[in-house]
Amino acid sequence: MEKPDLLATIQEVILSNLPPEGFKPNNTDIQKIVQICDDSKFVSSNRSTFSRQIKQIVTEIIGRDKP
Amino acid sequence: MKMTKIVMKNWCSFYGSHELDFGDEENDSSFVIFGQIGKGKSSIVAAIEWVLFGRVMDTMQDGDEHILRKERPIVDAEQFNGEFAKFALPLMVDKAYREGDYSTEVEMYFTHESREYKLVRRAYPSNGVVPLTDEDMNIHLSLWNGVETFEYECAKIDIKLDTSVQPKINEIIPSEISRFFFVKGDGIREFTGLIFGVDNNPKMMDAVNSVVGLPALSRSVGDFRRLKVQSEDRANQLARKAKGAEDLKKEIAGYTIQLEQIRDGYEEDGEKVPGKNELLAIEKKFSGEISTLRDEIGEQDEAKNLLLKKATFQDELSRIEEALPDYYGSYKTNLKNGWKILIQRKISQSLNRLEKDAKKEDDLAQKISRLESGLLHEEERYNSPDGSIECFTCKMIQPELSDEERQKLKISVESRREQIREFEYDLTGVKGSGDKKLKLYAFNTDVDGRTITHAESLVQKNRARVGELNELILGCDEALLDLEVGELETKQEQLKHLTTQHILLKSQLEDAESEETRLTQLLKTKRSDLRRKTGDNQGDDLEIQVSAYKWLEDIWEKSLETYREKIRNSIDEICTQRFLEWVDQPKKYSRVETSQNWSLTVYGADDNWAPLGNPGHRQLLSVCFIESLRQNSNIEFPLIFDNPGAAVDSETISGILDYYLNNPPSQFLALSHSGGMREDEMMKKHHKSGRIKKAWRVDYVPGLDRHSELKTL
Repeated sequence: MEKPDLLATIQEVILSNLPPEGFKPNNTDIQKIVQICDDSKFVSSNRSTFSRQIKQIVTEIIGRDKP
Repeated sequence: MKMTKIVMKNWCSFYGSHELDFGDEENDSSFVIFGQIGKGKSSIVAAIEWVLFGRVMDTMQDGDEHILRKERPIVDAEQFNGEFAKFALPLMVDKAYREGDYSTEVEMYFTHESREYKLVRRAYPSNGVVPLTDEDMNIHLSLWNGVETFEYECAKIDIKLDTSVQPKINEIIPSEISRFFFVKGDGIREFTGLIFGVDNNPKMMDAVNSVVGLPALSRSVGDFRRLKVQSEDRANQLARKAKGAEDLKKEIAGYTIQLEQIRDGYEEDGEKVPGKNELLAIEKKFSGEISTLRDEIGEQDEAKNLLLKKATFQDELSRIEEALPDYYGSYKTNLKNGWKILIQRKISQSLNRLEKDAKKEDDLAQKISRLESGLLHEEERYNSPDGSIECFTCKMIQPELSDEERQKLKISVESRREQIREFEYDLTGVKGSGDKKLKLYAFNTDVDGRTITHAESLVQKNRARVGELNELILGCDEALLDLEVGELETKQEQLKHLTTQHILLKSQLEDAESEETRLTQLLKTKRSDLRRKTGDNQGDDLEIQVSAYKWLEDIWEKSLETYREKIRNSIDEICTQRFLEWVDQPKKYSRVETSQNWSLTVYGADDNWAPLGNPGHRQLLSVCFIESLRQNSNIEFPLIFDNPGAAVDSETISGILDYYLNNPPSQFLALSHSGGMREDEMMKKHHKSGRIKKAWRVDYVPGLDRHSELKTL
């Protein structure tokens, strides 16, 4: 049995939960978000770096899909 | 993270400066430090713990088997001067202290995510005084990450205030996570408590969750929720700032208050109505409690099964014990009549003969009786003057006899007398046969050799089963001693109550969520209307952001459960594989299973719960659990293998070491005394094959007993 893969698990869940209108993350975006979450998993307080990175990528995704 | 070099100065038993150079080997590599017990191997592990986390714990067991933990001081004048013998020895070498060098230091060079680091922790006396305790010591901590250096200096007692260096180390590996990489006696005792469900220490459970990466999901869920609320607040602010359309603004303000109330709760008639967030927290708490109770009841199902088994065994035992006297009686009677088997053939023959004779006796007696009855009548007629007498059967007067008829009657009378005599003669030969037959029957028996063997085996078989059943009942009693049977019913009641409340709560939560969705949608539409009316469309992105964070929150929350389940399955598999390979009686067990609270259950070969009474097996199970966590973790940290538990036998330790040397983690450091891994054998076996990259021996410096040195082998 292979070690469970966090990214693969999230991607499986995404398949049955489509993102909302105006927000279309691709696989690379999801990979980046998972990486940010994984990098901050030991940071229990002052998660401002995490929030900043997430806001940045979410803004990027929304901006990219704008007409 | 991989260690490249450790330098210790005046550390524990190492007087002066000593170093371990691991080299910059990129691939998986194994290192071994040999040395007899007490020569200073574990001081090297202590140096690694201290430089990283600033403290080293000592443990001991009190008289009641409780584990006492105490931080080892850096200096302790009372111990150095021999005034008091204490638990928790000082970390500074006593010789340096006596010579007036009151500083100790550990340097660690390592690589982490392709970056080189140097970490130095130094303890030295504050204000230049002779330090008596740690209160007189300062700490200097510095971390260089290849680009810049972070430093912190303070009194030893204030080290917890460090916000510049320690948090950076904790981002690489937090102290509570690192314990999974130090396989040593003290740590194993803590895990033994956790995996047998006796220690519900939330910190330990959090640490297990962390090592397998669950906080990457759980912490982020909360952050996505906060980001969503922030975006909503900003969208509301924007809406409020928009000019005109006062009615719409009022509506938006009203819906916003409603939404806040739905989320955070409100007061009604002096009573607090809980909001969605509070309901969510309670629901999670209930889910956790229900799952823990289910696990506990699951364990108690074992108790139920055991009680049922015990009752079945007891039933069978009483049935056998009731029947045993009859089996014994039958066996005894058979034995008593056993001698009859010897004369049985003769008895059968005699009985057959007597049977015939008895029948013949009856026949003859009947015949004689009939003849005598006829003779009496004929004699009476013959002796009468003319033969005209009354017939004794038809009562008619018979006709007179002629001479010729009288002559014939005389012949008949004589013939009858002759026949009677003959029959009476025959009768003397068989007379009394019936009585003899009845007497002989007392010696007749249907017992034979097979009957006796059968009765004997029935007694033996049932006696053996009685012994077996008593053993089984005793086994059930012993197993039941470990389980709190009395609590089963209470827990079932609690579960029933909690489940009902949980259903109610979930329904409340669903209502709140559906109301939240309705209000969020309504607000979105109203804000959009407002922006259209006021010509301000800045908030559109914010609305998408709210939906995006909500979506991320949902996805991460759903993934958390799936991922946790996958991790549990993987841990079960690895733990089972390791345990069955390392334990000395693998046929006794079939598998290991983890529960929600990370306690472990071991199943026997019959797939029923198996009690794990052997302390060595318990400690071994902890080692297997740590290995299964390590394999499921994305953390790269050296695996440091010291003595994992006194109860684990040396053969098992040798097997574990062989496994790690053949399947090395990213960096493996084994410390070995003579038990489990002998220097000569292991060097021959693994160093020549290249599995051990480097090895050292720790021994006392000649002429300086108690002070250690390292020699590269």
